[in-house]
Amino acid sequence: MSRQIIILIFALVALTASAQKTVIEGTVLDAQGKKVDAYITVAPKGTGIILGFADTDAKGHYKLEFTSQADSMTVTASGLAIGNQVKIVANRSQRVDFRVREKTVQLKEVSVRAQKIRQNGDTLNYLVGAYQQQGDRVIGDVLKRMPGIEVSQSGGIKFNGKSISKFYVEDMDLLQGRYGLATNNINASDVATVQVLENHQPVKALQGKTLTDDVAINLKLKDSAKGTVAINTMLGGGIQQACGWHIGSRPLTDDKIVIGQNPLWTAEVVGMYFAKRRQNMTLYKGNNTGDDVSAELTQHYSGINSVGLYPFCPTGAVMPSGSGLPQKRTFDNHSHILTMNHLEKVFKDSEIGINVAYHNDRIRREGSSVGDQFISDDSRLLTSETMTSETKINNLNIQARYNWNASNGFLANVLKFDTNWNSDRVDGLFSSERTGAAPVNYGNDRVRQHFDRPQLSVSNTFNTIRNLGKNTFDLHFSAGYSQRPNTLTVGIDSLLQGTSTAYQQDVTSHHIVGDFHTNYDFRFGAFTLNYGVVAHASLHGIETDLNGFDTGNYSSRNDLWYNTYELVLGQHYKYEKGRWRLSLGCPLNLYTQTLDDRIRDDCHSYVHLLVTPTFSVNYEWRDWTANANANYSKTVGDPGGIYSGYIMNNYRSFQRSYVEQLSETDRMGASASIGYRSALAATFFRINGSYSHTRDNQIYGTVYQGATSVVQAVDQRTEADSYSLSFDGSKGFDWLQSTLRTFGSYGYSTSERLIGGTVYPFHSRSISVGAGGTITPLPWLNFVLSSGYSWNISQTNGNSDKLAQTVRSATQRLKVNVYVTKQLTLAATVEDNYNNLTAENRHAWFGDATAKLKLKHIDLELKLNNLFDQRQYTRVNYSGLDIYTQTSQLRPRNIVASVRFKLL
Amino acid sequence: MARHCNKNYSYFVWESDSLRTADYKTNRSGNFSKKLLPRGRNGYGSWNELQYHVLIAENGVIRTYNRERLPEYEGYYDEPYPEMVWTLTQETATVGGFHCQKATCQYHGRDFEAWFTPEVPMKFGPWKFGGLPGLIVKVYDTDHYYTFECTNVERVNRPIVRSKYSSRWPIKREKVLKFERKINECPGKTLGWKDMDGNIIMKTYPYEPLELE
Repeated sequence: MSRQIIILIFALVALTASAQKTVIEGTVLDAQGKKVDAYITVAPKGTGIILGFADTDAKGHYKLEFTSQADSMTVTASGLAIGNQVKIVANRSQRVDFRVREKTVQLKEVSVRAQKIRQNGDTLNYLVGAYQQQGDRVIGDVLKRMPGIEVSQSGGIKFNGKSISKFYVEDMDLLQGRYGLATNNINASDVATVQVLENHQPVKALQGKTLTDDVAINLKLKDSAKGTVAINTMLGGGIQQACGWHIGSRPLTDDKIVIGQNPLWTAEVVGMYFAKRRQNMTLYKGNNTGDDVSAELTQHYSGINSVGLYPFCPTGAVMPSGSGLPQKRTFDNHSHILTMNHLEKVFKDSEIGINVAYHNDRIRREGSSVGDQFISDDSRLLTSETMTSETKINNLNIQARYNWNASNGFLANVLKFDTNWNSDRVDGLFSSERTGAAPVNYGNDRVRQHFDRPQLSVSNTFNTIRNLGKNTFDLHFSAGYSQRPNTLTVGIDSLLQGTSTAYQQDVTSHHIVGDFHTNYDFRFGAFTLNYGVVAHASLHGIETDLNGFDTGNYSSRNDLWYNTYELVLGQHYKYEKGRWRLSLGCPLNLYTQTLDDRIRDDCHSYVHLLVTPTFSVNYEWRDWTANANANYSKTVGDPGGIYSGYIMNNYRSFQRSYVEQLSETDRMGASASIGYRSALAATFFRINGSYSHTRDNQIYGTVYQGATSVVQAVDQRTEADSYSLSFDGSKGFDWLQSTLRTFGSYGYSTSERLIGGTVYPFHSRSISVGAGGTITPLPWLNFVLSSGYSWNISQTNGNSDKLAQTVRSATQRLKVNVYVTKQLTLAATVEDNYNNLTAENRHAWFGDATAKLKLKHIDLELKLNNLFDQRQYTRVNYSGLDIYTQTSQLRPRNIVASVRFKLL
Repeated sequence: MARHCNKNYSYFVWESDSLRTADYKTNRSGNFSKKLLPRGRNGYGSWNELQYHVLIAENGVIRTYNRERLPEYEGYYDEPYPEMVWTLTQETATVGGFHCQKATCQYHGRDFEAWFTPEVPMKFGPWKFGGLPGLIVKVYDTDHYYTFECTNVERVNRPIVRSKYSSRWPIKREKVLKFERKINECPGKTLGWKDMDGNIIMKTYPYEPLELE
């Protein structure tokens, strides 16, 4: 009895415990008995939860194995061509065959809400809210985080390494390239989406016709930000060491050698308005801390090419130079700038825009310049000038624009108006002596210069693009007028002899330009041919009058018209295939020049055919690139050589440079470079070499009368050669996120100088080497180091020049960045500049520190400048055979704190 | 199966034969457009290559034409398709408007969970996923670094275009992954970007690649 129970229990257990594996197999065939592409799934009846699946093989056969408790299963044959065909069978091993028929599969059409990055053809949409983080106040802060978008230090934006060609807000280009204003002032909370438009073609008539890989950015604003005015403000103040407190300008000669004055102030107000058919951005910026107010107004791309207007003025005042330092260190300024940009959409495809900018500045600078000028192999002229200058700037610039951009044509017209009333006033001491074989001391003079230089320019540029059948036609016409009635007045008081001299040079200069060009592109396979026609006329009218200088038998006046007319047939050929890129250009220029001299009462005209071939070839293979190019050019006529009457260049240099023969300059050059880039090894280097040869049929000669130089152009052939070789390499390492960089260059050039009637051939050599790197030992700490040395010498050929000296200079720089928190960053820079030839200030140490704190509604910034209170900076450099030592007076140690916040 | 119209950003998986014949016979192509959602950690990432790779699956092999920031690392590599081994679970849910069932697998070093719908009888999915008895509507890794989700299903009548890849040469998948890791973690160092002082920009970004091995 118990055995039976046990057996029964066993049997029962066996039955339940086995939980049989069921095997179902069979075929899936169509009506003709041929195999159909399908797969089989099995699920317990009623649940729809698939337990197993199998594919059909080449013969249409399948085999399914599964385990289930259910009584019956649904077996489904599925495939794109057959849909789902279901059979319900009992849960036991068996054969199930399908005979299927084609069936259209009805798919549910489904759509889900937009996601963080959406792709729509060539447009990438970034949702600002998804990328914005605490501490991001303006849209520029958020742009830096978006993948693919880089914002450089100067404010330029790149997408995937390519600079953007257009920046729109709500599909309109208000700022015409000055998009730094938008990225630094539009609040991040007002922008809904940032659109990146790849392969962007702004001209609707060209869309779909020409391939372009340009990229543009468009900001789409939230509805709450449209049609409302937004205002952002920055205010700051500070004090500097030394110099009393003084509001208003200082007189030029107040004997206190300190740059800058207390109190220091800086302010900025930006107002913006964006609506559907109208946009406006108005801003005011001002400071007396030496910062450049026009930096944010940098045009990263330009709307349209206008003619260049540059009326001649060979006269100028001698000013203290900046010695190559950023103006922040040397300018004692009172700067104000006010700009207004307005855009209005009229009708369907047209818009009118106007950009007005007014700049007012008063800049005071102090410095001295010591010149060691070559007179002959055994004598030099040493000059020393100490100057204080004040420059007044008053500049008004207006641009009015009309654009019509429709799918059947494009039209743009820009009218530009620019006027300024600028002047320079310089007060200084000048002393000079001749050293060497026959030393002479020319004494000390007190020199006062006043250069009054107003200028007015007007120009209009017209551009239209039309489609004629399958081809496009591009027409461009521009004309302009500019005038400069300038006067340089100089008073020299000789302290030794007690005499006074006064010179006055008046220059009235006009420039009229007209330019027309048109272009046509053909493409045949790998070749691209571009043909263009350019017609250009440039008319210069100059009247000059010099008083107070003894000009001997020559005139002290000029009254002439110097006109050039060019008709250019441009041709450019490009071949791109595989790894090669070749390009050849050979424009033909029919160049006509007329010189109508009213004083001498004669008129010359010359006609020349100029050919300017250029050729370049580029080859890329894996990680290497190589390129080479060669070019030749010939220029005729030199605007410096047209003055038959004397002109004062500055109080120490007078020029009379009229030559009967037309000047001709031939120049040929060639260069080659090899580059290596390995992304995996993070190694990059490039080697460059270049050579150029110049031939001239005229040379400018200098004759020294005491300390004054008289420059004349002489009919004499002269040649110059220059060679250069340079290297730049860098490598990145994973260890402590460090990088290493080395660079070096060598240059050698030969040329000739005509001094005092003798021709001196001379050569110059320059060598520079340097290294640098960055290292990040901790995630929040970063160091940047760099070090550079250079040697320069110029001397006459042969060893007769005993007085030539080598100029040696060196620069070391260390920068530390500390990222304390996401909101707070600290940075400090220390720099040393060394010069071997200066008597004082051989080493100049600079130190700066900044701290930035980003809070929810405001940005705070604290700057400490010139920590070592370096008051002077000296730079030594060669110019031809002369050495110049330039010293500038610098702003003393100072501290400025500023706050940025949203006003409205 | 899935496709975009733009040559540069298309991503699609294509199976020849059955789909082609189906197209030809019934004069329609059952195509879906699928949007990728590669999501780096903290929403902070560099250019994500996954959006730009083109994958073509034919005859049991999936070929990836990779698009990189540097053309010298672009090429193609093949892998068997479908390669992953799925484990079906009993969970079901409605995902993306479809009734779905969950399955899991381990692929290239990560654990994935996929929701597939037998309502759509296609054994495909986004990227390299496939081999489930139904269209994969949503698939993500268990750490939630990457999520692929079907946002749009459209019926369209367009051919699937295969671009000419004549300039492409075979490249090893490991080399591609190594390069992608370097360029995403520190693009400045890999591309040689320099700042105003001439030093290479060493800023690093957190990066979690989809394929760990």
